[in-house]
Amino acid sequence: MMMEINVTDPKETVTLVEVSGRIDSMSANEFGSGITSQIDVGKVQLVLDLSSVEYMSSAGLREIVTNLKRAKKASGDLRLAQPSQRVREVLEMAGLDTVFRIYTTQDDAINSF
Amino acid sequence: MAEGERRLSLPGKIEQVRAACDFVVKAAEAAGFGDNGIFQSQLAVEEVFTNIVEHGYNHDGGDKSIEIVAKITPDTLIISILDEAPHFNPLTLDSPDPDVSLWERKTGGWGVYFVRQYMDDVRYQRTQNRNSLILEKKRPKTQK
Repeated sequence: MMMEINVTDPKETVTLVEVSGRIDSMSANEFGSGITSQIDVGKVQLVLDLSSVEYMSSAGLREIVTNLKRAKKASGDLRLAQPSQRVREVLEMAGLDTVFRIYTTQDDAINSF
Repeated sequence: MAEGERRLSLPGKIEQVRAACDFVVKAAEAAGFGDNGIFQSQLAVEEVFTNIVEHGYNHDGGDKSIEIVAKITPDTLIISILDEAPHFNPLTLDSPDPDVSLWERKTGGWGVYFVRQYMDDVRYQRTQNRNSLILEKKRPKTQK
C-alpha cells in the first residue's frame, strides 16, 4: 500500500495531519515534507494521526523527530494520535513514547492544544 | 516446510527497497512466521538495505548490487545481505540511547538498533570483497 497524507484544520489554531499506508525509506521524505510544509507556513500546533499507518521504519521515525524539534523551536508542538500497534511498538523501542505526547483519540489530541 | 535457500540480486538503489521487503516477506511466510515475525523480518531488511544504499553506496550504487539470501533451516530463518561497498562493519557503531531527551537524541543509528532488537543474532563477515550482514531469527515452534 502506498502512503497518503491528508491535511485539515479542525480548529483555527490546530492542524491535523492524517497519514495512511507505509512509511519506509521510499516514502519518508514525502511524509516528512508533508509536515514540514505546514510548520513552515506557521501551522505549528500539529496533530499527527497514525491510526492507518501499517508500517513505519526508522526512516519515518527520523522524520517525526525532526519535525517535533522544528515545531517546538517555533513554540508549537507535534502530538500523536492513536498510533497503530505496529507504530506504537517502534515508537516504544526507540524511547519516543516518552518524547511525544500521545493520545488515544484524535479528538483528545486536537483538544489538548 | 519449505526448507532451502532462495536468492535475489537487486540494483543498489533505494527504489528497490520494496522488492527487498517483498522477497523477505515471502521467505518469512515460508518459514512459518506470523504477522509479527514477518513485520520484524522485513523491517530489519529494510534498515540494512537502506543503510547500504545511503552510506555504503552514497545514495546511488550505480552498477553495484545488493544480494539477499534467505535460508530456511529446521530452526532458523537466516537472511544474508551482501553488498559491494568498501569494507564496513555496521555492528561496530555505538548504539543510540532510547532514554535520552529529544534535544540530545542522535538522528542516525536507529536502523541497526532495530535490527538487533528484532533478530536473535546478527553477524558481520567480509568475504570476497563483499560486506555480508547475517541476520538470524528463530522460527516459531508451532508451524502453520
